[in-house]
Amino acid sequence: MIVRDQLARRLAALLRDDPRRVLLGEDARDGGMLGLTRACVEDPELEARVIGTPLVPALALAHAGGLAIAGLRPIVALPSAAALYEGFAALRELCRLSLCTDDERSAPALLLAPCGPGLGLGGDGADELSSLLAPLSGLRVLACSDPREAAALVREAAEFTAGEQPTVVLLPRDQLFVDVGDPVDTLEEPVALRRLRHGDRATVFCWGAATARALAAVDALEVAVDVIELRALSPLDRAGLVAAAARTGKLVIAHPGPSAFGVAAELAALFADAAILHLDAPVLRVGGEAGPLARDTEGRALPSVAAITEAILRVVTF
Amino acid sequence: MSLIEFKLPEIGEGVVEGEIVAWLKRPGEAIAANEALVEVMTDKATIEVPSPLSGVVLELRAEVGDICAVGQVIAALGPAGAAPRTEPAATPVSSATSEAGAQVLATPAARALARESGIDLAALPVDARGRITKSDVIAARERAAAPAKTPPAPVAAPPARAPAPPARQVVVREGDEELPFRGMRRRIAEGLTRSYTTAVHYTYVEQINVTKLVRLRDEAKALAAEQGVALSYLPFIIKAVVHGLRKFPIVNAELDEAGARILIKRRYSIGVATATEQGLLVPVVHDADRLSILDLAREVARLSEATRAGKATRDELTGSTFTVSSLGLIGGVMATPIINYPEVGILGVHAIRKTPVVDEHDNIVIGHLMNLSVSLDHRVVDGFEGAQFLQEVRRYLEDPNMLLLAGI
Amino acid sequence: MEQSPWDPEGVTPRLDASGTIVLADGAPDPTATIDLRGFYRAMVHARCLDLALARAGLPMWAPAAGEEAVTASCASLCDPNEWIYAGVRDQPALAMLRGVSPASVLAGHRDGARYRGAPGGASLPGVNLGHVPETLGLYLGLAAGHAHALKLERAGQATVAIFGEGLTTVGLYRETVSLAVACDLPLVLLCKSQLWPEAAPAEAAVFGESVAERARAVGMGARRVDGADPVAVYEAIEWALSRARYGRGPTLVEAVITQLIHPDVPGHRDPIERLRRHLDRAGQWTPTMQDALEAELRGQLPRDEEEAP
Repeated sequence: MIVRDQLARRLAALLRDDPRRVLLGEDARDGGMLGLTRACVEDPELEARVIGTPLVPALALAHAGGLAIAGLRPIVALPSAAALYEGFAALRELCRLSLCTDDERSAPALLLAPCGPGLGLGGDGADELSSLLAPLSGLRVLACSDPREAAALVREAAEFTAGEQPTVVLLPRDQLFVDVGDPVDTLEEPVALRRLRHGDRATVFCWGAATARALAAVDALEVAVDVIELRALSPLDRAGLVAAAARTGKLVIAHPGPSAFGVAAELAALFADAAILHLDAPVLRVGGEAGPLARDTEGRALPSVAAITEAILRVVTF
Repeated sequence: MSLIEFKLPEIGEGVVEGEIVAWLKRPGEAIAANEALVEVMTDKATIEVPSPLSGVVLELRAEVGDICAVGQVIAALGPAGAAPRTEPAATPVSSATSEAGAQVLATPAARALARESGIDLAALPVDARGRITKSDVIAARERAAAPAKTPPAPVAAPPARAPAPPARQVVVREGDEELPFRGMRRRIAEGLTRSYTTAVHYTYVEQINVTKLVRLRDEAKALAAEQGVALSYLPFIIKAVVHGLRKFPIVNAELDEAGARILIKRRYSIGVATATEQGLLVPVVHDADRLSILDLAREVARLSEATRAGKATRDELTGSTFTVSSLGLIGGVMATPIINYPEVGILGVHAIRKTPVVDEHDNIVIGHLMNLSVSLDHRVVDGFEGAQFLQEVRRYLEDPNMLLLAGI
Repeated sequence: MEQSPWDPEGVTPRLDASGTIVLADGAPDPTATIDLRGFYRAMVHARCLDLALARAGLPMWAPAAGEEAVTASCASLCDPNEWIYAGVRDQPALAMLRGVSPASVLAGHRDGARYRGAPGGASLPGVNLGHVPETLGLYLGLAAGHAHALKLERAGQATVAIFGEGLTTVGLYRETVSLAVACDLPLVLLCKSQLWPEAAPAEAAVFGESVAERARAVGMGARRVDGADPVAVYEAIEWALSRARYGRGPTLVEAVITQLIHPDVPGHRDPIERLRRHLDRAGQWTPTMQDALEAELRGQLPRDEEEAP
């Protein structure tokens, strides 16, 4: 079963599990832009809780906010993470809701955001947005790296175990239509960070669509490299990140999208601050090209395997 | 006249570099011709280097502690009234300066580990780009922990750098006192290390009955005192050594390995190892063969005083062909003296002690016995020759009449 | 009766400029169905609070004098569980009429509040008033979402949003209306419109005949009333709430108000004055009573907020 359908079934299961959950999105009552809401619409028990929203992202987010104030748990299937460019002001308000109501209300709203290259959209569609979203105070930002975990990550997010705060799950588009066999049912702990490879010569931090490329680079090298996947981009597991950085002191950050002024810069600053005595080489960021990218070159939004390899060798031989 | 670059001048025969000990003028200060500008320490002595002209000091291009090559620009001088440069002094260009003066380029992790392990980063080798990383410090630590072990095998990719020379792990414990290791101490260490690791040392010890010499010296002491000379045994020993060297010239020699030759010295210039506050120095009694016992006594006293006061000239501190090391009353029984390289021999003089001896009539009498230890460079002096040399010295010291006969 | 450029056309009067009830066919007698004295008291207190806020020197504060009929009707007609989303100018009166002490309202926040905005800028606790986001018009979207939850829960309640006609030019208003109509949300939209006898702002051009006219055009139930006619306002809001609660979808009430800060506004454009005239005629108003009403509120304000003699 392809990941998109796994997600659709997971959403239906989530709505069944908790009657407070409602599903919103553009064309949601027709299955949604990507088909994520289909399983819910096809279930007569759930169909009433599927809300088609107008095209404007801000309204979908504001609507989710109102539902949340009334005590429901909205899940918004965004057509694209890039919709958050337009809905940014509304997203900010969701993030501040508990602050502005002195914690009387919160906004446990889950936003599913397909992002990055994959469908040949180019333009804003190739963007990943973590660098725009992570700075928002009050927002939890999760990124899916492993398509087998996509459904489990959405469930983890929908349960708001880390607090009733608006949560964005970044779903790399290139993962949505691949068949990965049996999905992972539950995420292993800790959720925020996951060690994918063990090595002592360097550490690669990565998330989202950059993870596959980082693994390709590391697996082709005969150098033992630690690979740390960030599932949570905000809030960061700072202690875990610093501990991982300290193990080798030679750090590469593979960032899906341009790395300047972004999450990678935040990580580099964190390492310079809290892991300075362990740093044994410059902290290198490897990102993608800045947009807008054309449809046929949208893959350049991600860091290349060659660039990641070069960065690893540079820190290892520093 | 505009800016004059002041180069470290020739400061003695064979001296190629010197350490800046102190600048006696600051930028902006006026200086007169022949007025001292900088104090430079060579492997032999500390000297004041004068300015060649009258003017003003514009710029100092070497820092205290830098080791500068002869001919290297160490300061800029200008005509009186010239303004000193405001920008920071240029980095010394000579490669000889990099190890002492330049900042060590080490990563934070390397610094942290070095600090924790008590490893001096300045003592570690740097890579081709002049840097030290954590792995260099780990390697140094492992070598210190297990010196016999071979360095870790290089990984497949990327290639590891060549293993660095061993560095000892230094653990500083509470209460340990730190003394700087530089200047004269470092010169001494460098000289002795070169000697010990280059010359093939062997030491030969003989016991000498100096009963007659003791009597002679006791008699002569009063006479010498009348001439204002405090007469020790050292002049006699130097005299005997010179006779020994005359008979065995191979001991008064130098090995020029690069030139594939042994130089037999014509002069008999005897170095006298002397303890000073700065450390061991070796003032030289030149042409000892031409001096009488009294003259030798005067010269040794003068040199020793000048050396202790730091007033010895370069000439008086260089050019020895053989060295005598005497610790006087605390001379002990024997020693293994280290050759004052590039000489090939050094004589250690030990304490004179009253000892029961069997005389020619098989009677046990009180004798004055003294040991002599001679260390020789086996590359140049065979054991047989070395032993004969010392026996010759012994002959003169056991029977001071020989000294008279040989002419003083 | 006097007619001024401030008076809207095409509205059905229920309390005319002289304070006389206009009885229409089939309409109930408001003196029997509405607690007019309580209504009057609520409006007077709202006015006194507004004056105190004006004296507090708040940055960019615009007085709400002349608009009290809408807030007082809402406070009276809405169930305390029904949420009201309103802008910063309406929130103080709504909060006070829902039981927050005037002093707290004036302070703008309760002690220890983390977010200290202008009065009404942060939601006041336990009174079911939506906070006012800084994003223009976003609270309309929040109100629609809230109404959607009520619909899903079949709560039989409505959510109210109060706004000025300027906001109806914002995209979020259009989108909120679209969604509310498409989903039959129990949403009551209360629009306070102004007439501009002197100079109309640029937005006025897109209103067409009226905000209510356009609402009807998209299929919403809508009424336009004179905001200076407290009885008409009250009855229109009652009608709108009833529609929403009974599942007949979103309903809009446009109340044409006159801001009393204009110097030449005639007295009958003030809903309080109009109701006073009515009560006076009925022998239910005296100057002493007025003093007592005003003193009742002022007594609850901090000393230094009192008017200088």
